[in-house]
Amino acid sequence: MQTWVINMILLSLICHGCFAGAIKIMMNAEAKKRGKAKAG
Amino acid sequence: MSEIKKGGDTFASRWGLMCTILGMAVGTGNIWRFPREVAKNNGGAFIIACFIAIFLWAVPLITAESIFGKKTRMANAGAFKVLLGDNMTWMGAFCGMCCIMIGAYYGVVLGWVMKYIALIATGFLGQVASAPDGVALTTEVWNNFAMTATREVDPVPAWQAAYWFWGAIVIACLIIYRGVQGGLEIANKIMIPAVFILLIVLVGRVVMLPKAVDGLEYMFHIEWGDFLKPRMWLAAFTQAAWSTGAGWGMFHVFFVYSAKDEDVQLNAFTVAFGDTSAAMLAAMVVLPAVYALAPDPAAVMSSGANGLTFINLTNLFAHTPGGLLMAAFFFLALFSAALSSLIAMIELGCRNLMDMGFTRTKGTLLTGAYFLIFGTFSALNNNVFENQDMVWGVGLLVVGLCYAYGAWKYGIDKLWDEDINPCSDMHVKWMWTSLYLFPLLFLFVWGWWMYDAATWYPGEWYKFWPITKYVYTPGAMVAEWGIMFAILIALNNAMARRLIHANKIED
Repeated sequence: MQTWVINMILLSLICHGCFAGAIKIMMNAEAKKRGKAKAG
Repeated sequence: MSEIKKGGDTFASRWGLMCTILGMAVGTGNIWRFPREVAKNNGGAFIIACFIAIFLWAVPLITAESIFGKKTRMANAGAFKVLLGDNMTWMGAFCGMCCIMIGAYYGVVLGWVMKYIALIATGFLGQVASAPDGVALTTEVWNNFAMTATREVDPVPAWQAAYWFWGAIVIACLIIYRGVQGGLEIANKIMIPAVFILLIVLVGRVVMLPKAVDGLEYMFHIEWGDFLKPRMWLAAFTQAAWSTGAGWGMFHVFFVYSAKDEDVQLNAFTVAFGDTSAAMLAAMVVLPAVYALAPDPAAVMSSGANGLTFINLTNLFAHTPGGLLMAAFFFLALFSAALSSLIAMIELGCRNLMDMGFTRTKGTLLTGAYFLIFGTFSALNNNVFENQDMVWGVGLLVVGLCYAYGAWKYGIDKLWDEDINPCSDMHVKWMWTSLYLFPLLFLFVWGWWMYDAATWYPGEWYKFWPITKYVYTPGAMVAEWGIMFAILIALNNAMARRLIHANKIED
């Protein structure tokens, strides 16, 4: 595989991955909060 | 969410807040600036430098702003008054005014985009496709629309651009008038996913063009020697500052409406990378399209924001199978991105006025009127537009310094312990304490811009009048900031007395 293709995959993974990962953490936190509210 | 509106405005959900701050951040800086900067700075190394700049510049500043808003429940001027004392109200007001001055000319860009959406809807691309020289036609249309005041022969004010600008401001004010949940939140919940979807569809279409792969190869090739070039780092930090909107004071205003347990650090991280994701997608549309369709890609990429978007891309779309749809998608993405940023700037003005006791209706009307008056000068004469872009664009770096100073004065560690860490799901302290580095980074970025601007006007760098002649001089920047500082310092006590209306919310 050409170097620029590897770079493209890596840089896209870092950038979009950080974005998606942060949203995932946020969704988990919200779900936990909702769970607590229901239990409470 | 745990927060229910009782007397104060809040966002209905965390997703609403996230879309709104993403809407503020994702703007023309992503769609037409980032691709040009990637092209100018030789691709991959610049992208990596941008990632580093996000951690060192954008995330700490966005966190600082957000915590100012969340802690005080007041916009820029009020928050500086509460946290740093009555005597510092002017500093917060400067942060707000700088952003408002930008909003005034930013609306002009939205007007241009609206005009081009109307042109595309009325068959302009067909005329370009059948013209013997497409670029000549798109250049002529652009110059006759927005550049009439700066042409050498028979210069006249660009009234057409002004009419479209007024339309843009009216649309933005109507959204703000509807309030936080009914206007801002709904508009951004529609526009921000739309920007991402439109860009993803465009990437899918553009990469299928022959030779598009050359654009991707240029974008993602890395020359390691580039990391030794200070100018590339300057471009990366400038891009991180201007594109994410870190230190503009707008995140501050939206966190006035946030829930009490809102995680400011995670939000700052999300919005910084969300903004960069949009920028990467835009570059993966623009660069491959230019490499696939333009005979001289380098010339197209160096034709400036207006030249690239309104002249060259319009011409390229006209000569591409399915180009009408591509152009419609591209300009709609640009429209959504620009409108979502403009409404954030109007909300900033409105919230500052509401802290002084004005109603939302009066706040919106007064801010809208201010935008109309100052923005019209930029719409009528492109040299005024360029001057305002330079003066207040570089001024934003100063605003970032004001926030870093405010956080340092209040206590960077204290803010972490009291406000950021207890509500955080990330708990990454260095991503906040890197704010200690900010003065050094500021000196590098701001100092270089001032030095660069001085070299463009040998022997005349200190001159500022007329601004249509001394468009980019350090003299013009210092003079305009100085006038603003003087007015706000003179009004300091009067503002401090009126700033007593925080957006109190209850559980």
